Amino acid sequence: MVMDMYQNELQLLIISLGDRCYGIDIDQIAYLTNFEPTETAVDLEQLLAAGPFANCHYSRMLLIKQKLQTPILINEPDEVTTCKVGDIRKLPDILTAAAGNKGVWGLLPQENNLIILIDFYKNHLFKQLTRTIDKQIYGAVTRSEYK
Amino acid sequence: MADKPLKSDTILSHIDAHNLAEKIVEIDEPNVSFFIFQLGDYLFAFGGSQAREILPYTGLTWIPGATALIPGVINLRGDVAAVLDLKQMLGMNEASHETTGAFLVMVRPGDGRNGILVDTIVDVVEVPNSEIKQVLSTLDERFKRFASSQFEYRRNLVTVLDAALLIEKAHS
Repeated sequence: MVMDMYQNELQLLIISLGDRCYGIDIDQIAYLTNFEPTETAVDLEQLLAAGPFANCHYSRMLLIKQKLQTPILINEPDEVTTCKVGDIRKLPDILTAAAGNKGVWGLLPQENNLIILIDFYKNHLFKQLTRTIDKQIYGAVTRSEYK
Repeated sequence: MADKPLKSDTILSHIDAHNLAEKIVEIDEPNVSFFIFQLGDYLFAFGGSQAREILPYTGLTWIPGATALIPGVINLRGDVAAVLDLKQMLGMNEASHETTGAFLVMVRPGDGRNGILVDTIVDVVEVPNSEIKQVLSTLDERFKRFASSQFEYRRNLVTVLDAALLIEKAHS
C-alpha cells in the first residue's frame, strides 16, 4: 500500500516568485484565469509573507476549489510538471511548525534547486480570509432567507 | 661511598619515575574529540559525536514562515536539510540580517537534517578529559546558555556548544 503511494504521481503547477519556485497540486486548482481587479483577491507574495519582489507582475488568478471567492494573484506560471510522490521530501522538523502555517508541506529536490510545495488549505492567512468571506456569504444568505 | 648512589642521581630517578607515572596516567585517560571552528573572532567547538559532516556553503532556498535563525534549506544529495545561522543565534550579527559563512556543519541532534553555518574550519582534536573545564562564569551571556564546557587550544579558549540546545532554540 505504502509502495503504491510512493509510485503515485502528482501534477504540479509551478510558479516562480523572486528566485524561488513554488509547486501547487493541480487537484487543488479549480480555475486559472486572467487577472481581473477584485476586492477579495490576495496575492501569493502576501500569503507566503515573501518578498517584496521587483519581478511580480500579477497577470493571472488562481481559483482554489471550494474557495472560489478568494482568487490568488500570481505571475504567469512556468509550467505544469509531474513528479513521483516518492521524490517529495518532508520539511526538516525544525521548520515544520513555522513553514506549515504558510502552507508549506514538502519540498521537491531538483538538480539545481528545490520546489517548495504549497497547500493553500493549510495556509493560515488564506484560511482566515476565506473564513471571513464564507461567514459574510453565509450571513447574507441566512439574512435573505430570514426575510 | 662508592656503593651509595649520588643524591642527584636519586633525585633524577625519582623525577623520571614521576614523569613516567604521569605519562601512564595521560595514556590511560580517555580523550574526547572536538571539532573546532571559527565564528567571527571566536573559537567554538562541537563534540565529535554531534558533528556528522562538513560541507562547503552553497546557496540556500528560503522557506516561507522561517525565522532569521533559519535562513533556508539546502538540497543535500536528494534530501533536504535546514540551515541554522549560528551568528544570529548567538547574537553576533545583530546589526545585519545578512547570512554569512563558508561551511556547513551537519549535526546529529534533532532529526539529523540540520546544518550549522560557520566561518572557518579550524581543527579536529582529541582532548584529555582532565583538560575539559567547566564554562567560565565570566563567559559572554549570549554564548553561555548554549555552552557545555571549554578547553584550551593553542593558548586560545574554545567554547564547546551543545548542538541540541541550538536546535531546541531554533524550534522555539
